[in-house]
Amino acid sequence: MSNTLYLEWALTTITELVLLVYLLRRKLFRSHPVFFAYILGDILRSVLMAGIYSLSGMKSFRVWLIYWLSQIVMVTARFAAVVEVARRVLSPFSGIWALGRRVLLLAAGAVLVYSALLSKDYWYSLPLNVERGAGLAVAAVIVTLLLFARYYGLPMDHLERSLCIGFCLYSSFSVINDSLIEKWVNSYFELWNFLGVLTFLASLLIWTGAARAYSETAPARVPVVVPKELYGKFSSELNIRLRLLNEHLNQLLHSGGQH
Amino acid sequence: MNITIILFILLAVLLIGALVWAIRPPKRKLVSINDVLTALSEEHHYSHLPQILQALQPEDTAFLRDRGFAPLRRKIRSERGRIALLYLDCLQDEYEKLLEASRVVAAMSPELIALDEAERFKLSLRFALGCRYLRWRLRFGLEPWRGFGLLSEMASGMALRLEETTSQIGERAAWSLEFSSILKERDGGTR
Repeated sequence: MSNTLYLEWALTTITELVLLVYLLRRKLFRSHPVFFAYILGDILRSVLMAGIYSLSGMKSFRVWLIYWLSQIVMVTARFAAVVEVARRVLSPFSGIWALGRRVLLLAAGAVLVYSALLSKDYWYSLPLNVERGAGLAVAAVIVTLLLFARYYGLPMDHLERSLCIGFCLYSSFSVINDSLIEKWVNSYFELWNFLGVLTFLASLLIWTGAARAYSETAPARVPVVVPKELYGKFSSELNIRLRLLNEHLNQLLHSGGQH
Repeated sequence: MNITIILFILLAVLLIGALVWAIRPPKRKLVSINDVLTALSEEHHYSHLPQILQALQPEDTAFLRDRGFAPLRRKIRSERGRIALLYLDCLQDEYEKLLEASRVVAAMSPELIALDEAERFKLSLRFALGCRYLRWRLRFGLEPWRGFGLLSEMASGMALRLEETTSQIGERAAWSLEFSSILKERDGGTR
């Protein structure tokens, strides 16, 4: 590994430690336990990999296997952290959460199937394909979540928004990176490593900024809940009114005059 | 580079683009519970549609052309186009208010009707596209209007649907009361 890569790696671990301190000081490990575990897990993984690389080098099959197994564990943890964010944003609104989780699941499933269909079936490509598919699914879930929250005008605090941005950018760039390494596996390896760590570092900086700015005194959301029947009545009436307006527009479109 | 790699990269780039779009601050302002009830009981713009459609008909100003007042006819038609645009603004405003109201109600419901939500989403897409298209045509004074003469048919169809809606709105008065009392109860309970 080049010195730049070592430096980048060290910088990432230091940033992770800073983020961890903020998560502890702001007591965010209570509200975001999965995210906390994800960051902690990544630090431990870095230590483990550094130890293995110094003992066995980077070329053996065993090291390759350990690297990819730990990577798959981290990708799963990332997915779980995203689910945690989605639950925090949507679950105060039980109706939206019930619909939202189905939509998010569908988005993730569709992307995973898409990735599986497009991936190469060589055994040595499997970890890369899993990582890429999961990365794409994470990004798709986040984008769907943000669009959902935007459509319903749901409040989203700075921390959740930053977590979403960080995870989505990191996952999307990982997908691009993984796709490029598949093509130029040897000549691209150093750059692939560098870019992978760089995008993670950028995400870490976004999260650290948000954790630092987090205020525990923010008021808790107390959502108002109405009976399901009342929603049903309002919903159907609103839809009739919206349909009427649509028909209005259609009539304007189709029955105007010639100039 | 093979097609698979291009597809993966394209999807990732699309997701980044969608992320940038989704994190923009929302333009609309959040409405309150009272606004929902107001939106449901406000006067509609439906009633002005026949006049607007009538004004847009070429026959309505054809006599001016026949009598040699073509420039005047053009001026009147452009004025009427402007009025139709204003009408469209009102229609869109009403539509957005109703959509906002539906989102407020959805956020408060313990369980959503997925079909209703999906239909609303579909309707809002159709409306937004239709509105943009119509506005564009009105602004440019193009000649895209596909045959007409549906006025009377439309009027009767509309009357039927309005009747249906009115009867539902009648029922709504009772729901509104129920709704307000629930909210008051909740409000009292949480404070």
